[in-house]
Amino acid sequence: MKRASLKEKFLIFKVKQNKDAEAYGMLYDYYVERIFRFIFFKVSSSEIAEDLTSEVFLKTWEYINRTTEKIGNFNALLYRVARNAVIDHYRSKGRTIVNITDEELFEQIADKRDLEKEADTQLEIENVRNHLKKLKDIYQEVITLKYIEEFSIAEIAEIMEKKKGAVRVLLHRALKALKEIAGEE
Amino acid sequence: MTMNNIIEQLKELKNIKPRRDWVESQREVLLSQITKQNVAKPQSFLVNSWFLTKSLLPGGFMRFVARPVGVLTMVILFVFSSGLLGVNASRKSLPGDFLYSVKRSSEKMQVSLTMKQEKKAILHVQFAEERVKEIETLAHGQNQPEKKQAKIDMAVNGLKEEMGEAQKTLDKAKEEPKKAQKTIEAAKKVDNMAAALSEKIAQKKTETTDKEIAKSLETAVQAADAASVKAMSVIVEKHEAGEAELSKEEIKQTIDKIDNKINKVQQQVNASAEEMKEVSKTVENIAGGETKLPPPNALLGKEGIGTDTGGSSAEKNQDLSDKLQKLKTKPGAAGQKLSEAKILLNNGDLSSAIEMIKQGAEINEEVRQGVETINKVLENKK
Repeated sequence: MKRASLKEKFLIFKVKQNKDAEAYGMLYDYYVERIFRFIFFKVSSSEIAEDLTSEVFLKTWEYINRTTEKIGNFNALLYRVARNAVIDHYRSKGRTIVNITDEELFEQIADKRDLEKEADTQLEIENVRNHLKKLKDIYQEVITLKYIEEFSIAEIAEIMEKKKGAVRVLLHRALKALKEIAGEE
Repeated sequence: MTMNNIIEQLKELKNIKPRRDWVESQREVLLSQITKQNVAKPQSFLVNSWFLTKSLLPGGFMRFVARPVGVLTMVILFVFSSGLLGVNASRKSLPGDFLYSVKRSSEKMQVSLTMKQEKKAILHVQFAEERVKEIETLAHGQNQPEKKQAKIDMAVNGLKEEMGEAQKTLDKAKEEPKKAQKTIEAAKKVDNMAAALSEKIAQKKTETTDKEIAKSLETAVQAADAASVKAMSVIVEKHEAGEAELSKEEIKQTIDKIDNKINKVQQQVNASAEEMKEVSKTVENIAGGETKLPPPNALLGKEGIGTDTGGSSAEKNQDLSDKLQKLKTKPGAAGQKLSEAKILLNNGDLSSAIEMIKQGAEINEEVRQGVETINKVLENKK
């Protein structure tokens, strides 16, 4: 489903107008992996990421059915709700950095590849994740949205509620910081 | 490490995904939570269409529309354009496809925007033709059998609905005496179109080897025939009431059509009687053997098949035989109606002849449904 496509708008219409649970289920199917990943990189625990992801979809449903505003960009809405959910989580729980174990990380990899390649990939992924973790939240977020979720600058601007120019500058600084961290190791 | 390396590694992180079982179980939990919170509120398709239009179009456009010049522009565009709301994209969609509901909604919109009852009737039959095309495409498709059957049933139900609506709109058109001639013209078109559809579907039925699809197609044939009979009765009523003139040639054609219809329904009654004989043999064999029958309530679909509600095997067999016995008299009764129709037709009482055809067809439909139900019970027993 292409973002903000006719299909997505039609599904949102069905959710808002008819409280159609199955239509919302289809939106969930499309976005659940992305939202999980977005939260996972921030909280570094798959269990917490699962809980918060569930919370995000429920809260978004409640918002859609409560608001009288038109839902212009469901994608951006979901990410905003996700970001707020992470912030609330840290506020209520206190910021605790939970290092993900090798086993948990291994489980996240969906592809079935041979063990040796898996181990190499696992190592690479762990490296780059460690680099990301050392970045400021906002740098981590913009890199995640751009290179992992492959959003355009315009889409990132809408998610982060910034101007496109500001996102470009942020991205440039984030990449520079990441390169410095990677260069140090 | 170069920037390209870093970016390549970042892209690898896309492989991080949530557990599949968690995704699926969470989906169920989410949907059950939101279903409990809210009751789905279906609204009229006009209300839905308005809000759908509003949600699909940008805000600036909607502000333009709010101005008088915008209102007029939109009315003209909407009435004469068929490209809005993805209608063009939905035209080729089939039952079960995402845009199918858009296709059906746009058809309903066309009907509601049509002012004249006689034109609405023709539109309904045109949409029934579209349902037949969908059935043809689905029958040749590569779907799994259960999904194919479900989609074909959806199309058949749509066809039944359209034929039903065509009959209702013909009835409404009939109430307007000033438009009697136009009503007759429309009724003739509906009759011709419905009869052609019936032939087409009957042909499809002979070509299919799938029993379930054949049953669905038979239902579609019955619906098309009912619409054809209705159209004929409207023509005859208008003529007999003196509201519209039919030429001698047209009267002869109408009489021939009614005669053909009697013969067609008689053939259907004969086919039902044959099926009844087959089913009777099977039931008699079972009654004579030791095979346990499912409880009689299974015939009515009130209990799950196989549920033992008590009673001896012999009692159950007797009950099934009794029900079959009641059905057995019906082909004869249907035949009786058709014989009366012939007599009335020969006496020139066309409207009464058509009424007898309708009654005969209804009785035959009862037989067909009854035999189908008994067959299902017998199949489930195996």
